[in-house]
This record gives sequence, C-alpha cells and structure tokens, in this order.
Amino acid sequence: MESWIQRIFLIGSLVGTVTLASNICQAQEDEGEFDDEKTILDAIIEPDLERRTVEEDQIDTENFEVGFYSGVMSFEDFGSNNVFGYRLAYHISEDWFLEGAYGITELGETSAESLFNLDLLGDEREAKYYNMSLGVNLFPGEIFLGEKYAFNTDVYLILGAGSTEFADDEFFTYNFGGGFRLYATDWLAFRLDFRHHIFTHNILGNDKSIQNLEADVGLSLFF
Amino acid sequence: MIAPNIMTFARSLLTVVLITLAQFSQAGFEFLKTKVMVVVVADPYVEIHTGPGRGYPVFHVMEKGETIKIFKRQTDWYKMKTKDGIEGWVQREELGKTLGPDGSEIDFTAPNWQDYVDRRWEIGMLGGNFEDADAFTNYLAFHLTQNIAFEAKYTQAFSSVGNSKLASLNAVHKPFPQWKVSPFFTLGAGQIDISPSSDLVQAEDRENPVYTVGGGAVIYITRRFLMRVEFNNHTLLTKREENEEVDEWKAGFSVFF
Repeated sequence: MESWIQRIFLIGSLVGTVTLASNICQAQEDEGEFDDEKTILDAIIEPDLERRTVEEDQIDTENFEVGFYSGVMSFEDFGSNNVFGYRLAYHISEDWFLEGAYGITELGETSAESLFNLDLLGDEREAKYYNMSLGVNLFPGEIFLGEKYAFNTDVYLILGAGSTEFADDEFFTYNFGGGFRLYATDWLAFRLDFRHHIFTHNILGNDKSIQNLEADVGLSLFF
Repeated sequence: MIAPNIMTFARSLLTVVLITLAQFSQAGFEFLKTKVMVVVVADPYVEIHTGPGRGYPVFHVMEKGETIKIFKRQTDWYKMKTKDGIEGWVQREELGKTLGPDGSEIDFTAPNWQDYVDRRWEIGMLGGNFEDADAFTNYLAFHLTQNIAFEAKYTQAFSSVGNSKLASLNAVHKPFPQWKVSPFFTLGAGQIDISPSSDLVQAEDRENPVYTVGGGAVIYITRRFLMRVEFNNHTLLTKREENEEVDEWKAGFSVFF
C-alpha cells in the first residue's frame, strides 16, 4: 500500500518536472536569439519541400487603444470648465479607427444666474457625454528631438454621434474634431484632441442649438 | 475647487491604473512578452518603415534570403527585427512570399471574404428612426457559428416629447452567411427606460420589459467593414391594458475582428 502511494507520488512529481522543464525550454526558445539551424536555408533559394501553411495568428496584435484625457470644455452659457474622460478605440486599418468616449465636465454659472441670483440647474452642476466616432489617420510623420530621438506621430480627423446628459435630460449630440498622436513607444501615445459637440436643448424655454468646444490632452495604451 | 464627482472619477481612474499595474507585475510581464515568428524573406527585397503606416519613411531594405523575427502586429503592419538588430515595420503584402525557416509557406493574407464569413466579434453603430424619434444604436455581436450570433445592443432615442433608452440581448440567425447581401433575423429581450421631456406636465419615468422581433441584411464592403440595414418591432409590456408596439428602422456600419 505504502509503495503504491510512493509510486503515485513519484510519477506525479516526475510528470510535473518534465512539464515544467519542457515549458521552460519552450519559453527559452521563444525569446531565443537566432540559432544556426534556422538560418541554414538562408543560402538556399527555393527549398524543395512539401509546403505547409502556417497561420500568423500567433503573433501579438495591438489594435486596441485605451486611454484617458483631461482638458477644458467650453459649454455654451455655462462657461469653460475642466473635463475628464476615458476612451477606447479599435484600429480597423492603418487609416481608420472606431472610438468610443465617455467624459464628464463641470458646469459654471450662466450670466443670468449670477446677475439675478438664480439657480437653473440645482445640484446637477455637471454634464456627462458619451459618443461613438469614426476617425481617419492622416499625415503620418516624425518629430525629432535633438540628434538622437525621433518619435512617430499622426494627425487624425474624427466624426461621430452620441448623447449628452445635462440638466436632468439627455440630448442627441454630434461631435467632430481632430487631434494629434505622438508615439513615445509602439504601445504608448500622447494625444492632443480638439472636439466640437453640437446639440439642441430647450432648458431655457426655446430650442437652442449649442456648440461646445473641447480641448484636451491624454495618454493612450495600445494592446 | 474640485467637485466631488471629479474626485470620484479620479479615484476610479487610479484604481483602474493600479489594477492594471498589479496584473502586469503578477503575470511577470507575461502579457508584454510576445511570441516570435522566424521567417525567411523570399521576395527580391522588402522595405522596412519606421512606423506602422505607408507614410512613415523607409529606412532599410532587406534582401531575399534574410532571416527576420516578427513579434508584433498593428493593423496590416508587422514589427520585425533583422539579424543585425534593425527593428522596423513591414507591410503585410510585402511578406506575402516569406517562408518559414523550414521552407513552409506562411499565410499573411489580408482580412478577406472568408474572414468575414467566419467572423467572431463585431461592433457597430447604427442610426435611424425609433417611432418618429431620432435614434442611434451601438452593438457588440459574438458569432457562435456562421449561422448563429448573439448581440448586446444599446439604443438611445431622442424626441421633443421625451427620451428612451433600450438595452437588449438578441439571438441572431443568418440563414445564408455566404451571400453578398446576407439576410438575418433576430429575437430579443430587454428593458426600455422612457423619460418624458421635463416640460411636459405628467413627467414620470417608466421602465418596461421589451420583446423584439426583427430582421435585416448585412453587406460586406471591404476589409473589415460591413454595412447593415435592419428593422425591429418592439413590444413594450406596459402596466396598462394594452401593450405598446414600436417600430424601428436603422442603417449603419460595423467592423469585425
């Protein structure tokens, strides 16, 4: 009985060690430098071998971009205030990307409110928006910092639609704008974004189409 | 002065960053480590760009027979390293003829018809009419097979008399996934949140369960893009004597990945 248990234990530990060892080997192979065996074919022009199709799916892709931003948003009648937000983008091709954003801005007092000591919004002194937009990357380029450093950049234009939650109501909102990305590395970018949000509200009685400008800086990670 | 909600926002942001960092360190940067693919250049030459886009300058050219390591992809561009340690980006088409180290062919094809038919994830945005109100929808779909998919949808409708928000889960059947204009049928359930405009007297919000029957068509455009047209008939289960029916027409575009 005891020897059985010992045997099971032994087999178990052996299997464990082998798996671990092979995993380590594999891992080393993955990071390994070029080994000579693999470069034998360098000199051969067209190897006469049966072809096997290999998928390239195993390579890591970085088509998603996630980030946050902060800046200033000028909300018509309510002054220019801080704005904060998150965004998530999917890069469809080198030219096109789809981006969703969610932002919150504070609202100041309208001049009527400060003149006549009114309170139009009560506790709702903030506006929230979300939108889904399609962007196009234009003008890829480089920025040079001294002699040693060059950073990739691009300029984009973006257009989309969404909703703005404001004064206890929600409004259909178009947005358009443009921006600038500076890639510190392949997976980290600084962003400068200018956006124009347009919607119509009637909280002051009549319908009024308002234009809100937003400018912000942000940080993005690609994964 | 910083408003408390912005503080909450900042705090939640910090939490997200900390969790991300914790995951990074826990996994021992496992997720930053990339699988490497070794290939041999078979074209007469291959151009290397400084960035993942055709506008970034070419700074190096590889010859036929050179061995390179590919370790990352962004859209249609691959990041690679030569034996001499030169790192740069190569376009997918340029790698069309590369071979594996054992002479095997490697499939570097661009997203195509077959990828479209076999698509797994799809996100899209649609705009249109929701019972006389302007509305838009964002959705995420997961395709279980070529014929069956599930969708999570979020619709918001805006009109002068009020706004509605509709969140729903739908099962989708695509009887002819191979057709250029492929029809689909949906059955779904969800919840609608209706808030009448605050200038109306009887302004009371209500929530109702919703059942949806719908259909439409998907048209493959190019690469990862699809166009989509759909019609939905929603039945709102109200607390009144009769249920309410709402028709919805939408058109928009989607991408798959």
